[in-house]
Amino acid sequence: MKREDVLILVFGAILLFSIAMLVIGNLKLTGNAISTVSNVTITSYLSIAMSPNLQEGILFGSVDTLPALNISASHNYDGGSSASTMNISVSSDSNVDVDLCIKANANLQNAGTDIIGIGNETYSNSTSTSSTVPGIAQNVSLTTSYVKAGQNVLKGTSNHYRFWLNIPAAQATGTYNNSISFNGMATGGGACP
Amino acid sequence: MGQRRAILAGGIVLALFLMQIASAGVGVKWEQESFLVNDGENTCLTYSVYNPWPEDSSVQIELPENLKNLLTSQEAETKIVPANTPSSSAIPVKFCFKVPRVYARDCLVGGFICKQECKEEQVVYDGEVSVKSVPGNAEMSGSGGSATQMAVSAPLRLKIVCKPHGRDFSLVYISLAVIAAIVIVVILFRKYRKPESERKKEKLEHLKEEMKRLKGKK
Repeated sequence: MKREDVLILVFGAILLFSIAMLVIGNLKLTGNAISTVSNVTITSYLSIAMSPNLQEGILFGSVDTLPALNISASHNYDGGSSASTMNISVSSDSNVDVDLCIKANANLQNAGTDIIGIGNETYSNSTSTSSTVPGIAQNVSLTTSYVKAGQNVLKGTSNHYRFWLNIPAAQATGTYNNSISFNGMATGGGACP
Repeated sequence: MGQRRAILAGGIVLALFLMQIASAGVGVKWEQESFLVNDGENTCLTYSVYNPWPEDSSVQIELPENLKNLLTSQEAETKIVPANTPSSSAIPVKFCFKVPRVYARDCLVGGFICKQECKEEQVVYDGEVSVKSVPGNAEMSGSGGSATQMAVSAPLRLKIVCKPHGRDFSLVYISLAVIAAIVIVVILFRKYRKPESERKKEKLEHLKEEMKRLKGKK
């Protein structure tokens, strides 16, 4: 037998062995059993929408005199009977009640990176609205983490908001902006995300 | 005529009222909160989105904030949800991420030839998946204030599955098979690349040498 034939034989055996080991390694032995399926699906769904005036943004207009305390957002009292027109509605096409969380992304900042601290922007919320509700007496400062605002808002109803801004005396001039997020989650689902 | 005008005016007032109370919205529907996912593998989950409100909306699914650093998320798909899409016609949206390796493995060479014993407690990640309404124009017009955006969230619990297995020698067998196949191909190539007459001549020479050797022995 020539040397090359011996080599072919040896390496052929190695090749076959490797393939056999790979096949054996991937083989899975399974048993047979007779079974039937028991099945139930529990579904949850919720939907929210912002009123157009809230979607437009929370606008505080122009301020000429500083310090300015509790400047009202432009839609705080522009509804019928001076009600707020900023609200979040929970659709009646939901099967859970909703907790609404709120946060700001950052301090209010102008193009020159001057800031109005987020603690100066406050809000109040209520499931009804009138000239006095949501009231300024109940206002709380926004934070950069989600906190629960409206809790247990029933499907088919709305949570109404008002916003205010304090501007310190030495604040630099400019147009200050930030972004406020609302998050709706099923009531009883624990802490805000 | 007067009655028709009154109906028309009433309709306009009603439309304005509806526009005032609601606009583009976002909704999420889910059937599962806990998922079993494999350690170190890519996983895709599907949530359904709907929009029972009178305006189309664009939505995007996001992983929970607390898991963003742990799970490597792939590009989130933005989906347009047509107005008046009820929960019964919710649109499925898939989002994918890679689960990190959280259980210890004992490997012989780098990340290869590993075994896994799964002696640790099961790792569970909790959070809320957000379906975010993507604003068409994030910039605010007019004077300063706060832009607004909204999201709805669904609970998410990822239970990471650890699959115990013995040392995996697949890589060794694959390497052996490849090397053996290469060697066989090279030998056969060298053997058959010469013309047949030359191969027969070589065979003859080989036989002659064999004969000489046998005669020498005698």
